[in-house]
Amino acid sequence: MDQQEVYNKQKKLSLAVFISDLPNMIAVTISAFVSNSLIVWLDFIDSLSGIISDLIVVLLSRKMSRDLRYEYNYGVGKIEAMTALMSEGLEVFGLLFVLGFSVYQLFFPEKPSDLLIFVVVLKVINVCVDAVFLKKQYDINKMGDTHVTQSEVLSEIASLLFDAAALVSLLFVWLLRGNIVSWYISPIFSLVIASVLIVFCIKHIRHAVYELADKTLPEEEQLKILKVLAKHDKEYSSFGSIKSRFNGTSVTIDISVSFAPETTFEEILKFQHEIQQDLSAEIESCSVAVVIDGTE
Amino acid sequence: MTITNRKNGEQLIVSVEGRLDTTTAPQLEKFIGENSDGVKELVIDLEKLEYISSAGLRVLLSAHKKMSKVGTMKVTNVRDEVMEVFDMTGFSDILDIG
Repeated sequence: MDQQEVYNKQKKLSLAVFISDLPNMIAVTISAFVSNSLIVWLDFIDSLSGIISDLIVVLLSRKMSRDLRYEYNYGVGKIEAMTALMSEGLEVFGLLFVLGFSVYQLFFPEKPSDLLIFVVVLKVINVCVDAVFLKKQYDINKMGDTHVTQSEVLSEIASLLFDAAALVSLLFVWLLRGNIVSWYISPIFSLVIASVLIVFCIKHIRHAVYELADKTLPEEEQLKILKVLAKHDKEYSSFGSIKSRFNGTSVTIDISVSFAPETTFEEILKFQHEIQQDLSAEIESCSVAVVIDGTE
Repeated sequence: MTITNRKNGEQLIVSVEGRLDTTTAPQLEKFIGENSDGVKELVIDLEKLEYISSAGLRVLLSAHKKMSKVGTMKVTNVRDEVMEVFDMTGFSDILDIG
């Protein structure tokens, strides 16, 4: 299956996830206010972050399926990194509040709300929906493995695990509602899960920042670029500039040169191909663009 | 980095002293750009050049290309440490080193 079809399917599934998450988001918001349970507030934060991320993936997949002219569109990694940075940043902010309230409720516990049973029912539906979407997402990823589909599979697994854990803990709160122990289940569960989620979010944020930050190539690598240019010295007539950078594990090199008027189109293509080939042999994971200034 | 020059008709001799790196390379590039009009023979004397980085090599490559259309460019008195960089990058094959 080609990438365009994968992005089309991803767009449809992400839209379905987004639409199905909307009523859940409304229900979770109401449940959080009614039950005042920290587990439900934790769910609210997770859902909010998920819904923002879904929306961005819908827009991104839509753009990718329309504008996919090349196998790898420039800047996709950056957009994904920005998406992660925004949604994870929001999630960390909310999780810090949950952590604070969890500690507070450990010292000043509250009796669980009698309306919690409705939230339990809602969670059962959530877990079923999550399982269906995970299966569909997994199938899409099998058809075409891209950064977007990979991160969506992970996101669906995380949603399923989170909802399942929340369901179990809410069930315990409900079953033990006559016992004072139930007063502590919600803050303890929230404290543990929020801490784990914060660690994961920070890991994602660090990775996203690493992907976003353009860094100068080490001197040794820059000398390799010049070595390749020296090797092909006779093939171009003037040298403009070299713009090189790396982010994450990818290296981008833009070389600007111009050619003598008698140079044919085939010769320019051959030069471009050889420069790309030689640089790829010297520098791992590098993407080379030869910018032609024109002929003289 | 210090740049000194001497002009003999169509010949321009540029002597570079110190380090030719990211900070100083634009200075040499600007100097050559401003003083090479009408020059048919450019001589770059590197006797007192202690270090050259990729930024310095870019300036030499650019000057070499420019001069190959209107005349010649020669690099002279290259120290061992700089010559090592020229050899490593293949610049010793493309530059006229004397």
